[in-house]
Amino acid sequence: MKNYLLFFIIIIFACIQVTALNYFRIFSVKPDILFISMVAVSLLYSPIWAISFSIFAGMLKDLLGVSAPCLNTVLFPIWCLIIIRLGKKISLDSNLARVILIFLLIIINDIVVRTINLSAGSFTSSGIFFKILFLESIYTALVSPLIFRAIQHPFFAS
Amino acid sequence: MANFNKKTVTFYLVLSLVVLSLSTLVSPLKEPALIILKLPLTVLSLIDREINGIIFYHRNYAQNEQLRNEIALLRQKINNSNEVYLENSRLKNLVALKKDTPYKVIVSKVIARSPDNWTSVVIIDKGRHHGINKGSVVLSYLGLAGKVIEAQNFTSKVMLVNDPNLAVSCIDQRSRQEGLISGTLGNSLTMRYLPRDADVSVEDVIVTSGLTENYPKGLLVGKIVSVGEEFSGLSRYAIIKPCVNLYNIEEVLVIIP
Repeated sequence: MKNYLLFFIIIIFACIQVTALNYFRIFSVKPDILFISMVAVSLLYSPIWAISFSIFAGMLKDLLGVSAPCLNTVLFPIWCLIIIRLGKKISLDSNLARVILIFLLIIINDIVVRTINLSAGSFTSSGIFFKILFLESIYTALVSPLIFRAIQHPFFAS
Repeated sequence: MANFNKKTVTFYLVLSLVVLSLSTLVSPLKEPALIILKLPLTVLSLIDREINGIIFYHRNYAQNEQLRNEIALLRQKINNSNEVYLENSRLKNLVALKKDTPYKVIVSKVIARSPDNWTSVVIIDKGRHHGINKGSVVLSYLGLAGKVIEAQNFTSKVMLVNDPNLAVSCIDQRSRQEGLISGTLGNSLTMRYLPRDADVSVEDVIVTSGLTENYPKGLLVGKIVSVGEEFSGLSRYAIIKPCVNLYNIEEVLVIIP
């Protein structure tokens, strides 16, 4: 496995997330490809690597964003552990199952992020929150098969 | 001088006679000959035309390919020139504003945007090293753009005015009615806490009031596009279209102390 190469891929995804992806906004919402890559590594890689990649992706998101300190650095590995556990109980091999998983996780993640941001004094009105929650979860879920395909590319496999 | 003998003269005379007699015969032969030759001539002319067409097609095809390549190259050049022209005009506007503005400002480029959908933040390529501090006000040549919320040595994070966490005290330029502007993470801003009898109307220009810390008075924010009443019925709000295109902002001016 050329696992270390995935660190570069995550860096590239982070760069795309903050630059080119802005051209693909729908109603000012863009998909979260760092989140998708976290889910992808959780499902496709061994737990140690998956958690390492998740922490790395979370760190990059915190570095480039302005959320509460280390919020994603902490949340991403937690989601990663939950996905690993879930993957042992139910089959998440089909694209549809992964899309549904990402859709649900984005909703839960956004609710958690909003709650933490609210307690940190950052306010978002309910209307804006539900609009972003709805659009982001659908958009990210729909884009996820592309990211999965990129991460599953034979180049990264042994 | 030519040496004519008897034999040669006779030969030429006979030849002349034959030609003359044949020429009298040619006229009546002309029509049937042409009738007979019409079909093969038509066929030959068609073949000739087709061959010409093929040659013409190939020549034009090659020319077309060449012209297409040239067009693509020229289009590329035009695009590059347009990009340079647009950048030039933007920078000219910034320089003009820099000259006109009474504040000390530095020009900076936007290098990234926030990775999530919950904030409207951009990262600029200047930081503490260039004199930027947390709280510095950020402008575009069109008006107010946002505020620096984090300054590193060589980069800074700027919260744009359409972020809900940024609130700026503003006034209606016509009626001097005061209100608080905050973002909606979209293409519009909301001006809140307007009294029920506030004199605000569509197309009114909104500028900063100077009451919020660091924000100089009179910076253009936008225009009112609609006015509504709050759910409680106690106050009104106005929806404002920002004068700065916050989604495509590329260069900014940062006011430094």
